[in-house]
Amino acid sequence: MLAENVITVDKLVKVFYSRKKEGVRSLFRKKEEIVAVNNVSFKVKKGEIFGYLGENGSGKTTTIKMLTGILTPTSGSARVLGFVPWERKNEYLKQIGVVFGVRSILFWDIPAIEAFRFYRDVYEVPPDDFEERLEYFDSILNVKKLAKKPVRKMSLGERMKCSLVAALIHYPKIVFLDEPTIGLDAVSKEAVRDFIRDFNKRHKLTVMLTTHDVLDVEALCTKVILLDKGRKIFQGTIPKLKKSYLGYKILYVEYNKIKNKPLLESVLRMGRLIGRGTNWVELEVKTDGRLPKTVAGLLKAVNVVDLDVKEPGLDRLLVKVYGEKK
Amino acid sequence: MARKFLAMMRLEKEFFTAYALGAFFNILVFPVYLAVYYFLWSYVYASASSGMPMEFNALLFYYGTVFFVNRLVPDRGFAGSLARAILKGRVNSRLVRPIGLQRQLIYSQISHSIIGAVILLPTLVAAFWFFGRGLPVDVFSFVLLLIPAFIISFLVYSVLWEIAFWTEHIRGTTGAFQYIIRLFSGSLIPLSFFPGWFKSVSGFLPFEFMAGLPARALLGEIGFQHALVLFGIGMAWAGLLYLLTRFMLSRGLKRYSGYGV
Amino acid sequence: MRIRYYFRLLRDIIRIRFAKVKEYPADFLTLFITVPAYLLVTLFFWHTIFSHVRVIAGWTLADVVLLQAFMQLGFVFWNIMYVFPEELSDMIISGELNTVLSKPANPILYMMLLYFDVVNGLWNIPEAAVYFIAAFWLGAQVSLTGLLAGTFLMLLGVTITSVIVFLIESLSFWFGRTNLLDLFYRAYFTVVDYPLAVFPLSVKFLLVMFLPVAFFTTGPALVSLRDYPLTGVVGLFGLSLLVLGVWFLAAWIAWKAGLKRYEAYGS
Repeated sequence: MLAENVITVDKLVKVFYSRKKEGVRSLFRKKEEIVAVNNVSFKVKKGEIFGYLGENGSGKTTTIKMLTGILTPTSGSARVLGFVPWERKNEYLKQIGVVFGVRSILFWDIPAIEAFRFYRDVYEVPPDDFEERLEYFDSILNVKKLAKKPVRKMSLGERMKCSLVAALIHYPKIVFLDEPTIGLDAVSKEAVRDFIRDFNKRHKLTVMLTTHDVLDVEALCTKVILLDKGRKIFQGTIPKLKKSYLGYKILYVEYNKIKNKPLLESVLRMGRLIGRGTNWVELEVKTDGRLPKTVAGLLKAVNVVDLDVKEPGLDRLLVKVYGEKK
Repeated sequence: MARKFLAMMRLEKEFFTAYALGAFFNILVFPVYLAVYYFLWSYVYASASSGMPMEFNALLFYYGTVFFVNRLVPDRGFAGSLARAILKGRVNSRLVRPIGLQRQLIYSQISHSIIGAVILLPTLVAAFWFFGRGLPVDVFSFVLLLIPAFIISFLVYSVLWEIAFWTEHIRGTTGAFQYIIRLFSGSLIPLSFFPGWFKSVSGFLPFEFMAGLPARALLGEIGFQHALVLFGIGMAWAGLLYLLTRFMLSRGLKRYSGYGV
Repeated sequence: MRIRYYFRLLRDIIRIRFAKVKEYPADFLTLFITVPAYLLVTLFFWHTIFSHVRVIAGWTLADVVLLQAFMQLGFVFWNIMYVFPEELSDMIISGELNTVLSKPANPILYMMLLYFDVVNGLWNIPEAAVYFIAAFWLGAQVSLTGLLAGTFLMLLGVTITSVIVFLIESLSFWFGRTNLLDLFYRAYFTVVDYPLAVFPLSVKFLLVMFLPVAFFTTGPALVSLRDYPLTGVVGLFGLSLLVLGVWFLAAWIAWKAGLKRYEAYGS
């Protein structure tokens, strides 16, 4: 059975107006139009973890704010779970969860458990379900003991874990995560990713994720959209993204002896050298038939100890995509 | 140091011009304030059963000056915002700058005061035009006593926000002090309206320096020589308050948790 | 209107407020320093004024102290229920409004609940009590029905003021930080202490429409006094409802238009 579309966005546009500052003349400022989201269309199926990527200012957060009803678009339409988000119906808002990066939804002065209880009542979660859900969150994030600490005394990672619990305590159908791992250490990031994966699997949670951390994307997302200056420039899976924009692989060779130096130098020219040491080389090689010839040449030129062919990381891809556009 | 001061002043100017509507309304409020006191006190003066310690025009000009001075010097808002910064751990970025925290704060307040003075000076001139003409106005004494007014206000409110290192909220303490300051500074009504014992008590406190004394100086009630003496006393108070704030700050920073981002 | 739902949230918020008191017990206790300090200052101030005059525009010291009592009673309700309008501008500018708008509750009621602070208003209760006792001791001639009517009128006055504050803060949707509220409060709290009778008619009109102190302090005190005519009471109530209606409509329009315009500064 085909999964239903839970998010349908059609030609969404959002224009902001900003006034140019000109010192004292700022009292008579001109208005400047900024098109933050420019004719973006996409669909998201139930249960997908969907990455929404782009440089700073590309329109990611603005799109999330429109889909969570915070902003009204300038034009275009969207339906999330059958609702128009900016009508902000309670029936819709009860089914979504939102986490805005470092902006905490907890109460600063007091233990996080008080915020959990508060949101239990905001979202009308039955008390028995609340206890059960806390147990579940505790099993993955170890929050029960943590939640007794005042929020102001928590580290950033601890606060993010508790913010996630507060945002998901009502088991929403969709969660919008805007930079959920920003500022976290590697261990905390992994804990958050594990949690999202587990929650998605158990409850068929649809996740719309914006992040600058490519490891978040590679670890979680089944599909990605790339934005550039408000426009959608790509939609699809990560392998398809890499194939569309890269078309090369990374070849790493470690050796203990050079058998034929001129041959080695000639083979290295078949690709783009990324790094070189006394006994290793790493280069980009296009996947247009050159790769097997390069490997064969290297096997002849050196005494190979280790050889690795891997796909380039998403970070390289994004640098290439946005770097080329500049 | 001058470059750092100018950088902070530019920051205040940017902040100010970014919200132009606020600047415009800041100019408007002064005549509203003065008009209220005009009507209130004209009724009191008409009904007064005994001689009043000040001429009506002088009283109105006094209020105009007190308002102007209160906008120049640090106030409760300064203490409140610093206390909140301590609570939220937002003092961290200030602490790692290569310039002391108190110096940063005083530079910021000075630039705020300069901007405030520029904006509000025309209103003080207008108050003088309507009520102050004919009075023995003494600008030199006024300007001289503005210096301890600013410093003492800064230090008094610094004591208040530094309490936040221990209580983490200062709502109650600043509330109480605000009322006491308003009374003893002469912002509520000139101290000459109060009985003699009250005036004696206020003479042992620094609060009149914050508003009442500069206002009386401008009215010509003090004289330059007396103003010089008062300046010395004011700076002595400033010295004592400075020692207190330094002590509290050093102890407070040791306690400071610098709660996370 | 989901009344039970909002009462449940209110119960949570009250619990949260008392949890904060447990976190900052020293701070809570210092609130009580303000009570005697404020009493000392204002009673002394009025005593000094009335040492120069016996009556101000028909108001005796007892009547003025009664006016102060209603002001303090008004602050009890203001500090408990109506703190949220003051926070609106900050919420708009910082983008914190996002966390309100994404909740399945009416945004205004939700903000009201978030900032509902029982503890904040507690310290005004002893102040109001002392003022009422002082007023009776000084000889204010009041009736019980008058006191009740005065309290109700004062509540209307507090509500009108809060609606105006809300409207002012809504201007941040268009103009960012305006500092207009600071100016409104400076003007408001300059006038609120004094009986309206001292001002000429034109100023009284302004103080009824734009700085509605008439319904916060002067009106309630007048209505409580035994000799205040019934027609005057009815007139004051009618006028307060009219003023409330006008400002409520303006604030509602500004809020709706502002939400559409909301640019959600920051992330």
